[in-house]
Amino acid sequence: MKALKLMVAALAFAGVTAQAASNKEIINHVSYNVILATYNDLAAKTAELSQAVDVLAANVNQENLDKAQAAWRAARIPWESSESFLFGPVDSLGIDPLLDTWPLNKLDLDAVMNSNRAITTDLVRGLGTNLQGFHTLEYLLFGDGKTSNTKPVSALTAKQLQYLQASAQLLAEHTAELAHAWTTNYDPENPKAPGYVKVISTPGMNNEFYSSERAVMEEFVQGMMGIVDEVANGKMSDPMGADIGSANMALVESPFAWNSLNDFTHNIRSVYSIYTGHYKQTKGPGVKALVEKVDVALAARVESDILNCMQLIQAIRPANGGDFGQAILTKDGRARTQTAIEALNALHALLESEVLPTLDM
Amino acid sequence: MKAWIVLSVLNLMAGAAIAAPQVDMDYVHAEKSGGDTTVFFKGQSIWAFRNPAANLSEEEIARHLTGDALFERNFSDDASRFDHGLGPVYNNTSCNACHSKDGRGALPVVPFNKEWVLLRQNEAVFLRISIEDGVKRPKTQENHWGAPVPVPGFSDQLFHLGSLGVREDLPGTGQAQVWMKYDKTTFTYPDGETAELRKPVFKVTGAYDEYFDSVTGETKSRLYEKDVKMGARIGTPMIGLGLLEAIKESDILALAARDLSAEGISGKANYVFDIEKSMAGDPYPVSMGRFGLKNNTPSVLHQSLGALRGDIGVTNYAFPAESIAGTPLLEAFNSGRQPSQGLEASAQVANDLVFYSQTLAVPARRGATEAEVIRGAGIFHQVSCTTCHQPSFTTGDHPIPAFANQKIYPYTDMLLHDMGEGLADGRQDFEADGREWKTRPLWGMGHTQTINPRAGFLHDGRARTLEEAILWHGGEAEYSKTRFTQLPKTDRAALIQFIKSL
Repeated sequence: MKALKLMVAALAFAGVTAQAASNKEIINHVSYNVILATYNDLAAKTAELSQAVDVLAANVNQENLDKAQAAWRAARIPWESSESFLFGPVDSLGIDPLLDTWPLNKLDLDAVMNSNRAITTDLVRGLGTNLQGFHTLEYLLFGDGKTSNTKPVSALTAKQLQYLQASAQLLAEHTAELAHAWTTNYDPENPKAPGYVKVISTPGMNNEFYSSERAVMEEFVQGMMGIVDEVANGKMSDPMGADIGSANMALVESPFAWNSLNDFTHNIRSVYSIYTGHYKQTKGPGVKALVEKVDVALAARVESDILNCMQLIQAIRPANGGDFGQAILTKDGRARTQTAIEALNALHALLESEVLPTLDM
Repeated sequence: MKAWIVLSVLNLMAGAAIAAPQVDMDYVHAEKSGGDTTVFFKGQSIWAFRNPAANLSEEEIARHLTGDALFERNFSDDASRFDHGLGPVYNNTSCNACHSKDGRGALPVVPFNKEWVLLRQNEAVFLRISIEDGVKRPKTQENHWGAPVPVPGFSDQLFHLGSLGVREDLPGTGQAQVWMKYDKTTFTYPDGETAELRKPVFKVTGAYDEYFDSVTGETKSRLYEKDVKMGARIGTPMIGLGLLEAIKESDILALAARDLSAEGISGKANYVFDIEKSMAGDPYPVSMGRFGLKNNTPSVLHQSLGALRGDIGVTNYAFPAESIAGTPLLEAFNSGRQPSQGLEASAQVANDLVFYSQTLAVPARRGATEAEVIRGAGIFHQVSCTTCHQPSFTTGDHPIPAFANQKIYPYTDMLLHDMGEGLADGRQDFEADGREWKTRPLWGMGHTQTINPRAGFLHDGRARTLEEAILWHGGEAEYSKTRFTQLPKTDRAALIQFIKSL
């Protein structure tokens, strides 16, 4: 499987120089080597998280807790890196809320821990989406995040370990389903339905969902714009509020692991991947290849603006420790956040007013 | 009315095609489906339904965006949080969960190796329930002027999910567990082509009031009794609702007044409880219905705040009591805990959600100049789809100025029609009987399955394709459906191509 993936990547890159790439080549490369690769990574990393949690439950020590925490952070990367292309199965199979519902219900989670009920995957599967997924695992692995993001292993209870195992197993199950939908069959009720990667990569008159390459290219650009807007005006602005007094920690994403700024950075990393066609070690043509045909300077400017936004997000991190949730409670941190928001909004405007029109030039 | 249908079908069998009533044929070429509110996408897009109307003011766009965040808010059942309000029983946790990307929902996946599937978290479908005992009840304040008769101990909607503590025996479950399977049949065209049709069938188990009757040896619940009727509802697209609200009532009633007996068609208005009139102290708070699959609500406010309180369980100024108020389930849940005090959604939150629901733009048509699409548009009229899927209106006044005086192309007459036994849910809803449904708007159809590749058409999401949706049409639509089936395959394809251009 891995060898096959590498071969596909190599083929996509070998015959195509970025400048000369056609829309068809861009779409093919981005579909297989960015989008599909991200979903495969998500399935692999959540499976590793589930294994790490099993190891922790079998042998409860600080080292294994640290490893499980690291595995959670690693699994978070491909998920956040998928947020500029939320097409198809993640919604149609209803998977998104099972992975990433926020807020979690701490009160009920504690109540389950305090009950005599056996904690199994079947029990957790039946509970609300706000008692499952990444953020439930985050809370159990990292603690409440109020004064630190380091949980001592002594604080882990037997029930918490059972809940961790059950919810990590479910998370891996759902992401495997998602990867399967992208690689093999997007509709489990229709055996003839191909993997969604085939749908997105082969637009045309016989394609039910995308009748032209133009439509898919616009989908890529709109997806980039969508997540840039959400990071600036949802994920960062909403918790920040108008002033320190109205900052709302309850709205911060990934507040227990203090992983918010990494989440946001990887959201913008997914914009970078679609734009440049670079995903991890794999390179090939992205949207930039099209923009370059029209305006080389614009193409370079967009790339550098994307990278700058990622740096500005990381620069929000307080020098004396903490993450986004702590930064928005200080004057300096809010100023740095505001700078990042403005850069993201400028990037959004650039994508809308200058990149989108290149699709028709 | 039934006599007309028989007459029409007889006419048809005798080969006498009836000319469709006159409509404004400019729809064939019109691209701005939502008038000046229209937004433009050159291809299909998952973003096509997610935009504010193009002609809103900056201030209105800001308000729309505030509502957007609320539409995506996962309400919490953790009473210590600011966004508390979910439950204690519910069908989903946010508006967006059933109207994903402001689009249409899909039925649950039934795995290959299973017959029945249990509805769990995050399903876009729920069941309406009511007592159908054949008793004619006068319209009174007590029954909300003809609302469906709630099932004692339940309400008029079945909430399959519940907060922790609602069901000690089945954690996560609400009033009952709901299961679904498909019944499949094959439709054969006169030319020998076939199409598989599927219909979701539901069953209910684990009702909270269930008990074993040792005398009869049966498991009983009020919900399992024969006079309880259930009808499934799937999440529907959110676009253009403010425009539909702005259509002049007189224009809709003029369509109802047409004599379409030759085609066996008789559009009918519903007259329903109006919460806004009720709050204003109107002694007869009844208005013409415009929203809901049976036109059972009069306004976007009534529809959306009713759904907020019902589907999610968040009480608000229009609907201040929990939907299961007065039932033993709620009393048991509340005993020993501090019941939630006051309204769970502030007036600001409620009004911003209503504003958002009113102001989503309709996307422009695509491919309107293509020959095949133009041909399909002609066939659409030729087989009389336009009689009920009325192409256009010019709106009247609306509190949001952007929606006033707009020429729009929603493809609905906003009226109820008998759609035949195949689609019937057997439930009376104000004036709508068990076979009657509102004509669904068709604008945005071409984006629907790009937004959600498994989105299902018709009231319960049963139709996987537009073709299946057409083939389910019966009753007053039998005539048009039959004419569609008699078309050559290429003409059927052209008609569907036209609908996909919308």
